[in-house]
Amino acid sequence: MDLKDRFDQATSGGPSHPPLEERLHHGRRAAGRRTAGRALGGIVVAATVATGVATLSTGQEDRATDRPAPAVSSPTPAPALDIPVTASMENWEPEEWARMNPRTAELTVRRGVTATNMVDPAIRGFTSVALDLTRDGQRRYVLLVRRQGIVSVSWDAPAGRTLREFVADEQDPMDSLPIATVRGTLDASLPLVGYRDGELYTVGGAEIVRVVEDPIEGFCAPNATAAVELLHEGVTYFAVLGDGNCGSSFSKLGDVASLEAIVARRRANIDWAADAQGERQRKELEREVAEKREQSDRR
Amino acid sequence: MARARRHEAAFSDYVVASQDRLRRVAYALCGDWHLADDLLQEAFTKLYLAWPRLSADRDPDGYVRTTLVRTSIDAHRRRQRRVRTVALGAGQDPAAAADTPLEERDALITALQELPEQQRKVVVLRHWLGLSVRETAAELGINEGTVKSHSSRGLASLERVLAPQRHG
Repeated sequence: MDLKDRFDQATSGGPSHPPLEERLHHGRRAAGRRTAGRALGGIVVAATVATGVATLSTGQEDRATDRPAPAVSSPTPAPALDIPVTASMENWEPEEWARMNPRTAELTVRRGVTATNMVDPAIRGFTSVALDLTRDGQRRYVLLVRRQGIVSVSWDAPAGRTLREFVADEQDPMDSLPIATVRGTLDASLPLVGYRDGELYTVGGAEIVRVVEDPIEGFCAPNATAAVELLHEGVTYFAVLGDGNCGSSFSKLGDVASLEAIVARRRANIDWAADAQGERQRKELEREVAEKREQSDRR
Repeated sequence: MARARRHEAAFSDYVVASQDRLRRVAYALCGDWHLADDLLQEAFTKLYLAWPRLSADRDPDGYVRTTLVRTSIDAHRRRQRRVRTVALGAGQDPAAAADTPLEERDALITALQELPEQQRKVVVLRHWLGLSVRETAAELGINEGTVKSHSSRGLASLERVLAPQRHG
């Protein structure tokens, strides 16, 4: 059994959920607090913003602005790039210098950060930007990539590389794999095979013996999926995996008998999870209906 | 007003459909069902506030998951001093334990709680939920090298703890 299956089973069960009304009550109460806080703090906020604009307009570093950031579209590197600066310091992680909006791909940099070079797109086929940034005299390359609505960011010192060389170094496909697999007693210590963007990737030295495409109807839809048998250092491994974050199954010969066996096990787990989820939702709805009926009867 | 009602109806549908799977993530992170409920409630409360602007902007599952993993779970656990009473066997799913002995299921969660908090989060995101190195780094707001080192150390520690239990 692989680590994912172990997690699935170790986290099953648990006590009943609180009633939906209780969940909503917490939210409504927080919304009420927030509204009251805004009304009280309105004057203070306005004064703070005015001070902030005055400070920034002295032109110390960048063109700080709190207007919506326009999308970055320049395809060629250019010095002193006109990337909007986010004036607010709110919600920036300490090491975060640049950010891409996951929905619109709009790009902003933190106040005090200057961009001098850009590669856009950094990775063919993806909304992605590589930036050459400087902050407080420190220089850094940053790569922002949007995949399936999630923006990932990585960075490094230039270390004598061009910006494009940095992008190439960041593009080890095995790092992009959705999960690690089969090695060691936990069966999850080293990635051997993964599915990403329509391609199967393997580590060097792993040989794909057999691939069955889309072995389980509905698994990870609408992404492509595959069952894979591969050979690595004399050991046969099996995987059922998809081109998305759907969870994958891995095992090796001995723990399961064949590729067909791991596919059957995965199918059984999916069926069980769907049944269990459906049953819980059904009970939840029945209880809510009963509660509403009871309240209505009381009235 | 009608818009607020629509938001709340959509939020309610989402909560009912997602609370089970999201609480499992919280449970893996903290090892206690009731603390998991608290963590999930906090995340749902934040989601409730964000819902009107979130719907078109971002996947709600991702929002809740990010809230969960960016919460300081160990600090939260230390703050928790309440005494709870729970009905015996409440809500236990008999099908759930079919394949794995109870002690083995407990061992994984217990061993996970022994890991430093950030390692634990990396193991859950990467090796259970299947996020890539990049996605895990983005989710936790750390760099990819840190994800890799947390991942290998976390798995090695789990292996040390679980291997004797599995083979003993």
